[in-house]
Amino acid sequence: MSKNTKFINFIARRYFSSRKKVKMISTTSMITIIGTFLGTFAIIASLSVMNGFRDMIFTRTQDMSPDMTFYVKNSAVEDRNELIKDLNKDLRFKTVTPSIERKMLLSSGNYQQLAFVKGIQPDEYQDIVKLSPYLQEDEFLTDDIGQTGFPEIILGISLAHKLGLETGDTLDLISMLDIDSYNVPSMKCIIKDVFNATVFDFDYRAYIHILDMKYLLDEPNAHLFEAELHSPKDLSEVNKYWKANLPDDIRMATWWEEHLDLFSAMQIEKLATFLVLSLIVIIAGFNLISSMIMLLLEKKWEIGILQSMGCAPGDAHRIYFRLGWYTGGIGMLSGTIFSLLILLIQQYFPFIVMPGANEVYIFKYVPVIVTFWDVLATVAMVSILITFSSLIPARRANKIKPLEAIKTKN
Amino acid sequence: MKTIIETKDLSKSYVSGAQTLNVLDGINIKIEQGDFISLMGPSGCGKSTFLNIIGTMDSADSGELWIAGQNVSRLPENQLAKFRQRHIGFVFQFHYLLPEFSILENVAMPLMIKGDKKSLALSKANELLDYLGLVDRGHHYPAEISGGEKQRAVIGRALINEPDILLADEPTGNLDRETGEKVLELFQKIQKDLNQTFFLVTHDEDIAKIAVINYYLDKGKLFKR
Repeated sequence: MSKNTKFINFIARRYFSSRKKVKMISTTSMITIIGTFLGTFAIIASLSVMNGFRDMIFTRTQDMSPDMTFYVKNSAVEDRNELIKDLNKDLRFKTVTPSIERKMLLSSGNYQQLAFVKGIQPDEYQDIVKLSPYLQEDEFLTDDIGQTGFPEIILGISLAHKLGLETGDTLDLISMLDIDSYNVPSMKCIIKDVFNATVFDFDYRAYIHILDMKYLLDEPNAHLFEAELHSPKDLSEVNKYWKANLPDDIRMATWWEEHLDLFSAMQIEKLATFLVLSLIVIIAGFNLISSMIMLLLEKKWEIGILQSMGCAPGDAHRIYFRLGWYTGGIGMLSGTIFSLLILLIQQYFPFIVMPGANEVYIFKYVPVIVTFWDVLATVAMVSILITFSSLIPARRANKIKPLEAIKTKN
Repeated sequence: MKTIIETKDLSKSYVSGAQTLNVLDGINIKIEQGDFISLMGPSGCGKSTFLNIIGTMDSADSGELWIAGQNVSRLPENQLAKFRQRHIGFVFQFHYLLPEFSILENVAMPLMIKGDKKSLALSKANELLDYLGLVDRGHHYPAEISGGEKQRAVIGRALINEPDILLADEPTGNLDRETGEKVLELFQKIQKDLNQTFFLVTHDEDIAKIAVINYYLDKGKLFKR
C-alpha cells in the first residue's frame, strides 16, 4: 500500500462512517447497501436454485433416456444386422438393445389419450433407463411373455391419471397409424406398474414388451437400437466415432442432443433471470450515484481545503471512488456471504421445504447447487456496476477547483 | 537572504459585462525568508486574488510566479498541489476545519496528505498543539471548541509542514477584537520563534501594523508604504 493510499483510505473511511450525520445521504446510502445486498443475494440464490432444478431435470432425463439412440427404421435389414454386430463389438457400450416406438391411442372406457409407446426388451432395458426409482410398486415388465396372461404395460403417471387408471387395470392399445381397410391393430394390456419421473414428457409415455409390440404392429424388425455406455464420460468420443462411421440412412443422437431444445431453453432462462435480477443492482447503482453526489456537494469545500493543503485532484477522485466502493462493496460482500451461507447449508443440509412437496414434486426440499462460476459472474457484474456508479461522482470530485470549492462553504 | 516568492509582471483581470476590471496590473514583488508582510487595500481591490495567486490556488492572466526558485506559472494542478504541500500554508478568514476529524487529526492532515505515517503525523501535531496551547483540545472536534481555538488550530495546520511561507487572508476577520489580538500575538511569536515568513492580507490598519513590511494594493498597482 502506497503512503498516499493510506491517506485516501483514512479520509474515505471517515467520510463513510460519518455520513449518518446527514440524514438524507445516510438514507440513500442505506438504500444502496440494501439494494446491492438484495440484488447480489437474489441473483446468486436464483441461479443456484435454477441449477438445482436443472440438475434434477438432467438427472431424470439421463435416467429415463438411453445414452445413445440409433434410428434404423429406414435402413436395409442387412445394414441393421451389421450395425448391431458392430455396436456389440464396441466395448465402451454396456448394453445395446433393440426397441420399437410408436405413437398410439390408449383407450379405457370413455377416456382416450395419444401417447408414445415403446416396445422394449425388459431385461436389457433396465440397463438403459433407470425406471426403478420412479416405479410405484417397483414392478417391471415380465421378461418372458409366455408367463403372462395379458400383455403387460407400464404407464407414466400423467398418462395413468388422464385415463383414470391404476396398477392392475386394463386398457386397449390401438395403433392408429397402422389402420388399413380391414384391420385395426389393437391389443388389450394390463397395467403392471405406474412410474412418476416428475418430468412431464416422460410421464406421458408407456412401455410394453418388444415382442408384444412386434405382434401388434406385425413388424418383425426393431426401429431403434438404444445403447448405454459403461462410462458417461466417453459419450462425446463415442458419439463422434459413430457419427463418422454410420451409413447415411442411419441417424443417431445422444440423450443430450435429443433434449437440446429443453436444455437450451433452460440456459436462456437462466441468463434472462441473471439479467432481470441485475436490474435491482442497477437501481442500487443509481442510488449510489445520487448519494455520492449529495455527499460531494455537502463536502465540496472540504475537498477544496484538502487541495489547499496539497491533496491532488487525483486524490479527491480516489477518495470518492473508494467511498463508492465501500458503500456498494458492503452490500455486495454481505449479499454474497449471506447467500453462500444459506445456499450451501440448503445444498448439503437441506431445510427449506419445497412448496407442494410430495404432491407436485417428488423431492421434498428446494434443490440448490451453488457453482463457483455463477458466484464469480454475479460478483463481477455487481463489481462492474459499483465501479461505474462510483466513477461518476469520483470524476466530478476530480474536477473540483480548490478556490471555487472553498467559496461554496461561505 | 533566500527568496521565497517572486512575481514578475503579474496581471489578472475580470470581465463583468462590457467592463474589464484589472485587479492586478503588472505586480512585481519579492518575498524573502523571515519577512512579515501585510497587504492592505480597499474591499474588492484584489488583495485576496493576489494572495490566492501567490498561493497557487488561482492563476494569473500573465506574468510569472516563482516559488522557492521555480517558475510555477504553468504547472499543472497535480504538481501545484505538491508545491503547496511543501512550500505554502494557508490561514483563511473562516476556520475551515474538517468537521469529521478531531483537532489533532485536522492539524496532522497535511503530513498525512504528504504520506507520513499517521502515528508520526499525530505525534508531530500533538507537539505543535502543545506549542499553540491547544494540547488539551486535540481530541475534541471543531464544533466543540471556541472561535479563537479554531483559528489557532488552523494556524497549527498551516505550520505543520514547515512551509516556506504562511499566507493569511483576513485571519482575524471572523473573531472578536480580543481573540483577534491573541491570534496576531501568536503570529508574532511564531515569526520570532521560527523565523516564519508571513504574508498577511487585511483591510484593518491596526492589524497591518504588526507586520514589518506593509504593501498597499489599489487599482491593480502595488505600493510599498
